[in-house]
Amino acid sequence: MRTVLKGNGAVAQAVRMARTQVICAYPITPQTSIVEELAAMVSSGQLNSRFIKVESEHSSMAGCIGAASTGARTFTATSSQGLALMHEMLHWAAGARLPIVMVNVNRGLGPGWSLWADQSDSVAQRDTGWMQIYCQSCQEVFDTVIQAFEVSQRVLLPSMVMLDGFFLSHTYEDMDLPEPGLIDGFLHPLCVPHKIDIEKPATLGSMVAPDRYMEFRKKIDLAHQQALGVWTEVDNQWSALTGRSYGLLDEYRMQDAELVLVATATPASTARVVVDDLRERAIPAGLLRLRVFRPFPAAALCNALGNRKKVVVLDRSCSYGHHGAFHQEIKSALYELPASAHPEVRGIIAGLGGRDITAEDLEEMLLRAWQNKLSETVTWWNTLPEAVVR
Amino acid sequence: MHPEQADFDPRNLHLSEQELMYTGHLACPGCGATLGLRLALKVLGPKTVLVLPACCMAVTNGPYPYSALQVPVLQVAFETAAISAAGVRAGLDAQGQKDVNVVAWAGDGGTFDIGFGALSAAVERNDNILYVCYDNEAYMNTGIQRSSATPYGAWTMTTPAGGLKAEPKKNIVEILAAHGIPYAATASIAFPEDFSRKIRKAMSIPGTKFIHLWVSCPTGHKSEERYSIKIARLGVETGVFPLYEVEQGFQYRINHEPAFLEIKKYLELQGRFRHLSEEQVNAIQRNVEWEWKRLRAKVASGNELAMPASKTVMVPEESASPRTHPFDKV
Amino acid sequence: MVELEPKVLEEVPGTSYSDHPTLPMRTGTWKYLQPRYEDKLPPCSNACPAGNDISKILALLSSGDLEGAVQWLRAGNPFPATLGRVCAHFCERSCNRDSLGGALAIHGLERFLGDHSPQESSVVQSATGRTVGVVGAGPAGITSAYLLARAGHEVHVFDDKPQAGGFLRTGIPGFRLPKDILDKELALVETAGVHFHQNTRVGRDIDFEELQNRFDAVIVAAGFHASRPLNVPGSGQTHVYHGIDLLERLAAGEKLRIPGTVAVLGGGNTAIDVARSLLRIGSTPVIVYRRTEVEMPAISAEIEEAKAEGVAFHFLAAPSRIVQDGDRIVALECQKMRLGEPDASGRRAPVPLFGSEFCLPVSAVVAAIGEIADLGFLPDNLRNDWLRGQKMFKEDFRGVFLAGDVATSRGTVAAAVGSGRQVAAAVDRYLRGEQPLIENPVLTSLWPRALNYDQMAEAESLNPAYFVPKVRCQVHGSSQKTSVKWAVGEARRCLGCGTCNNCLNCYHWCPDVAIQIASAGSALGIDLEHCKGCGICVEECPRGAMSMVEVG
Repeated sequence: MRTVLKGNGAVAQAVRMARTQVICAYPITPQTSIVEELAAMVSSGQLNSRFIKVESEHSSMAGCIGAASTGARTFTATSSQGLALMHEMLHWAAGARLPIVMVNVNRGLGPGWSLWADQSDSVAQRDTGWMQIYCQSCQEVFDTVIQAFEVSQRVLLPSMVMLDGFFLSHTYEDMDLPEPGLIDGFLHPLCVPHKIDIEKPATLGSMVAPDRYMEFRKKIDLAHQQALGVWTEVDNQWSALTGRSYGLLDEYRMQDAELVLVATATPASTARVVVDDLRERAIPAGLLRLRVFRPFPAAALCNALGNRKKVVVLDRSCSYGHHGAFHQEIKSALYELPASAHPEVRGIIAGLGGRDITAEDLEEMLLRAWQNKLSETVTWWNTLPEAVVR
Repeated sequence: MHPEQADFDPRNLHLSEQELMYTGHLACPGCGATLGLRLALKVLGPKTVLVLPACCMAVTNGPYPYSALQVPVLQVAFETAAISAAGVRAGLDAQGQKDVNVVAWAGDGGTFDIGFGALSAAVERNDNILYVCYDNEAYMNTGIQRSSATPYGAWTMTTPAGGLKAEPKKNIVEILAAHGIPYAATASIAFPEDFSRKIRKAMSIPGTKFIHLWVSCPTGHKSEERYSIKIARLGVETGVFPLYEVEQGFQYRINHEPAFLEIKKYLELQGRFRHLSEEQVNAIQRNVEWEWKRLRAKVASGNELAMPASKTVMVPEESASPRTHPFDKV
Repeated sequence: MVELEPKVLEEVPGTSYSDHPTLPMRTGTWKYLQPRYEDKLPPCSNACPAGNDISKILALLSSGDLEGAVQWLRAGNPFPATLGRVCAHFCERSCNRDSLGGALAIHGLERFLGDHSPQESSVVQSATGRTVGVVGAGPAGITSAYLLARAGHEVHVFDDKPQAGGFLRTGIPGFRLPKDILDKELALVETAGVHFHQNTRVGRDIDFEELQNRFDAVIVAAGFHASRPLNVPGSGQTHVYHGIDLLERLAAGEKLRIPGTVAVLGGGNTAIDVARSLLRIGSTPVIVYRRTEVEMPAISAEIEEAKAEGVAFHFLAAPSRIVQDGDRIVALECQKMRLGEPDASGRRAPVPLFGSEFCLPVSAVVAAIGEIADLGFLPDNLRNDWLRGQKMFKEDFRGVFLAGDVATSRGTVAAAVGSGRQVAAAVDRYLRGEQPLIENPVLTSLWPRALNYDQMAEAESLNPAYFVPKVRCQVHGSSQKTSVKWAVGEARRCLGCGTCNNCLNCYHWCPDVAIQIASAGSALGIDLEHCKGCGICVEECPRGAMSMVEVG
């Protein structure tokens, strides 16, 4: 059915329709309405789930781990400080190979206490072993959460689905909700092979000596590599059912593009208009939206970006001391290509703490790149300049 | 043994002979904590999931791929015993396995300190779990550092001679009683039948149940291994560790009237107390007497109180027939 | 189960999943001390001169197995009914229950079990074809004869009195040991296969050498039946008696009358028995003893009884002269004594006070100042060796063994029974051609502190009145029947010191699950591969029936 939902509302519906069994969550702006809607659905009986109203995000993830270890379908959501607090347990969930699904509403980290859109929180967790997907529309959020439940349980890795704070979480969109029967048919019954089982008593998570530890970690990495194919497969299956598919990367007017903007989330959605505009002015622009960030789709990226003239990578975060994360990772992937295929890559750090990235900003970025006016490898966009030029 | 003999040997133990622990675990010789777990599992039985945070037991259970325990065990991060157990409970309940016990088994570190927040929250939510804190009165697993459960005057590696623990032991049962916990009790490995009874009683009560189990640690207490039980017994008989239970946070019952032996008898068997001056020992003795006065006052006041109206327990109902969401109507 | 030694990544589980029991981790390899089950001699058995296996007997009795208890008691002791009346019960004084509600009435229990006729006859081993001759049908001789007969040997006992029993018959009055009780016990000895030849004096009716020729082994258990002479002027007089003679005549039924005050010299059980016997024939006895009551070797309960019955005592006096008037005795002149330094017996020696003579008006004197052996029948070489103190009761001396007072000089029935037991064991080994054991294997003694008092609760005696001397002595009569209920209840108070009774405390207290209960029966075993030697089991054993020993 067609309806109008905001991003957070789409999340709540997806969690409900996936018949999630255990939710452990703690409110934090701008995720709060997810938690509130889920609580309402549980109280009213519309969602048959156990909702543990935990006292901190660290406990959110710990509670999910406990529940997922029994083989139950689990979910949580958080943002910013909450995600940071969860950090220890994110490592734990991935190491325990549990198919937990979490929505992270991207928000900046304090201090300066920020409530607004910023990807620093999720980017800082890219090493934890979680799969990470960035969404640009409410429809995509809904579809991705459902897909995440399926991919996670196939590869036994937890998924983190991102939506921009306020820009997507609180923005209403018209979208299509499938019938419950379609979701039930799409999602396989959850099976965690190493789950807690009274009939097969075992200890999960005991001490592992150096001579045995690395194999577990290698298997996580291999699962990520396997997951690339699974994301595509599941996406295709979803497409067959709903007509919607998203892929690992979302390409817009890329066939003959020489100037490419690589972006994620809502700025990518704004960028389509900019690409169209530049094309009108005979500039061969294209947009590459990075959707699945972990596992990192290196091959697809190289395919898409090899032999382009100029690539501008937009980061809404910074790995202090060494540029934005997306910028670094894309350049490192491109290094595998022969030097002749390497495009010129420029990084832009913009939008931290919710500072708006407008269509004008994006057009300016691309034009400057095209006109060789982006001299620095990385440019902090729309910020006060330094008094002393070093 | 002759059953009649039991009448005149009341301390001959009437405990199950079912074992749910293998030999070959890595505990120190004379470890009181392991004995506590062995006894507890006998009462809990094989349909039990144990949630084990970082603590001695997590190591002694054996490294991968060995497990000394014959029940499913979920080892979890240090501060998460209570919430992990609540998560396991929720997961099992969601799948209809309501007859499986869920028990958090944590040390004093993971209960009194780093796990305190999660424990308080679980108790406030009344999560349906049994939480047993086995208290050896310091962070023993990491090499004998002080915790808030370390008693006044004890030596540890972070409260060495010249800087012995100056703060009194945190009273965890009182803190949880203030939460209105349905059932909280103290127990000692030297009184295994009392401990067993308390586990059985706890498992018959819905909601959060807490047992504070005193265990000896020859390594950390600097005592002789063979005296592990004797020291635990003396802890109770000198009054240092009272055996009592409290229901609904206000109804107190003393389970054992100690002989109130001289506290010296308890202290002198543990090297961690050998730095104490006579004044300090006397202070400890006076404090034990004072705490007993306080405990008895609580028993008396509890007997006078009736159940408060607001404490009628609300058990969230499960919807017999789940309602559908408006979005599902096509 | 998880693959222990994976070869490829696929054999490794997705996450740390452990389901192998920890049994292969041999955690017992670092210890240098380890526990073991080791029953120890309880203080009661340690103190019992007769060697009764008290804790086992009481364990059987406490479970209600009366027959089993009687059989086990009589398996090593033919005189429980006797000893249960005449023994000084050293066992009770050493009972660990003393500090936990009161010592067990072991003596009374022995009497109770001794009075209970066994339902089944005792088990006798198959005949060995070996023969034993025993000189003397006293407690030592009969005990060794009884045990050897049960062991399958053919045993003949030679005794010069008309009836068997030795001092049991002639030296202990009926009011302490009813003769029908004695006869019942002797009947059981005969049933075990012992052949009695009464009225046969070795040295007169049969030569010692003949015994040596006829029998494979000879046991000399002739006892101390000769009175120590009274070296006091006038002691050859008619009305000067010897204690054991007097008792023997009374035991034989002679209607003796010794009117008036009679001085009884001595401080041992004979003197007390004589005094009390004199009371019963109308005399007025007064015991004259050179030390004080404290040093009297007689059983204290008997002393109390004697006092209660009206026997007079005169302490710190020794006879110096018997004063006669014609053939009548008119007085006993005594000298006062004081106590000086301790002598060889460890008691303070009496020292005469010169010039302190006084006269005790008496009409007769009975000397009960000690008994000595009469071994005239022994060949010279053997008797000389005996005089020189050879320990013949333990080792074979050309097939001749000594038992009882002639071997130990200990002077009590219990010691005689104990000696008879040891000799029987030695003779049995000798007859089988084995090397005699120099020492009986003795269990490690148990000291009271090895008992874990934390594990014990107080349990008061079911009949505290039992310990009052008057009551204790009252039940000498065979008409006093002590109830089974009391006996079982009292036996249940036995702590079982040093004796494992499978209470399973060690099993329950072990943190390492290293003590196993055998699937059949209830034997306990220690898994030494995993036991870390912490010692909790030994410390917590309520009965001290475990020990720590060095590894290897």
